[in-house]
Amino acid sequence: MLKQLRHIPIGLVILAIGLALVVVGITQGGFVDVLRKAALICYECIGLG
Amino acid sequence: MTTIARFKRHLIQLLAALLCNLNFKGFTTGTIYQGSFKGVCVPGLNCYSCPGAVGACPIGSLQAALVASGQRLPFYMIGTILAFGALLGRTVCGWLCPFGLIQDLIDKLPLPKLKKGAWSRVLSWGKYLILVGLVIVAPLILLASTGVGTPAFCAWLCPAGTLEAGLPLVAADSGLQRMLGPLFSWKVAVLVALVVAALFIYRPFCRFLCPLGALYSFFNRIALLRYRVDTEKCTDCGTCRATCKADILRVSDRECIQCGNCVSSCEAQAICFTFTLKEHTDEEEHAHT
Repeated sequence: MLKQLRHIPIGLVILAIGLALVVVGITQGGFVDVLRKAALICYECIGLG
Repeated sequence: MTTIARFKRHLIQLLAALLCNLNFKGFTTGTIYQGSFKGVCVPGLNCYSCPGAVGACPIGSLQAALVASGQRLPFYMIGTILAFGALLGRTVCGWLCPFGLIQDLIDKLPLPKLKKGAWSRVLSWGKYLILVGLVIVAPLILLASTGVGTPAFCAWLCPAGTLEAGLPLVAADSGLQRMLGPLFSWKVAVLVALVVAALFIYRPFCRFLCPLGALYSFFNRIALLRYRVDTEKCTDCGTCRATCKADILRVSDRECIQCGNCVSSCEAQAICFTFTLKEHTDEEEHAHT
């Protein structure tokens, strides 16, 4: 079993961790934080400060 | 990389740029898309204030999440970066980033090109300084000192924001034109400087300044989709390193944008672009290419 686990690529493990964090982040309101910023014109981004 | 393969990459770059900017109406009305999909990040550097943008920019969102999160960690953005990085690494830079495509097209102009060397290798560390300084530290310092968490990279440097969002929105909105000031002039100057640099240097923004490329570079050796070298075929001739327009020391290292220019130069045919869910312990890790 452990031998088989050693053959799981680290990229796959990190991908799984990343997706899990996305889910946790959504429940914490992270999605709303990003949406709130992205759905309005960002004056800093366009150079108006 | 053969001409057909290169054309295929540019086609995918173009499709990715289009997919990230499907709100065509915004370019004529001078408005941005405000639907809930805007809370989802696209993999490449594509300003969320671009009139066409239908998703969020990972770097802008990371800064916004850092300053909005207060005492809690921005798990949503950390997870997003980890997922894109583990899946694609800097394949995003070479195949999916709209600002990378623009620089690739500029590089096509038949002008004398500055060769890479020790100078470009040193400058390539600049993107890590910008990642730490402007993306992570500066917004948090500004938040602590002024109470306003300015996204410093977007505000002071990002040329994608100026090109994709600033110029089209300002052109379409007379109200915004009246708000123009020194910051806008500075950002246009940065953009012009980078466009001029891109005429003579291959993808200068990606290689020297892009914090998103810096983030993805940490995943380049472990990404599921990447160029891999078959060590049994590799003859250590160094042709791939010499052919590469970026500052790689070996295929898929931190500087490799996974463009595949090295593939056709490899006489041993040791380099291939693969997506795999299996661990390959015998290949590429120690391949000196």
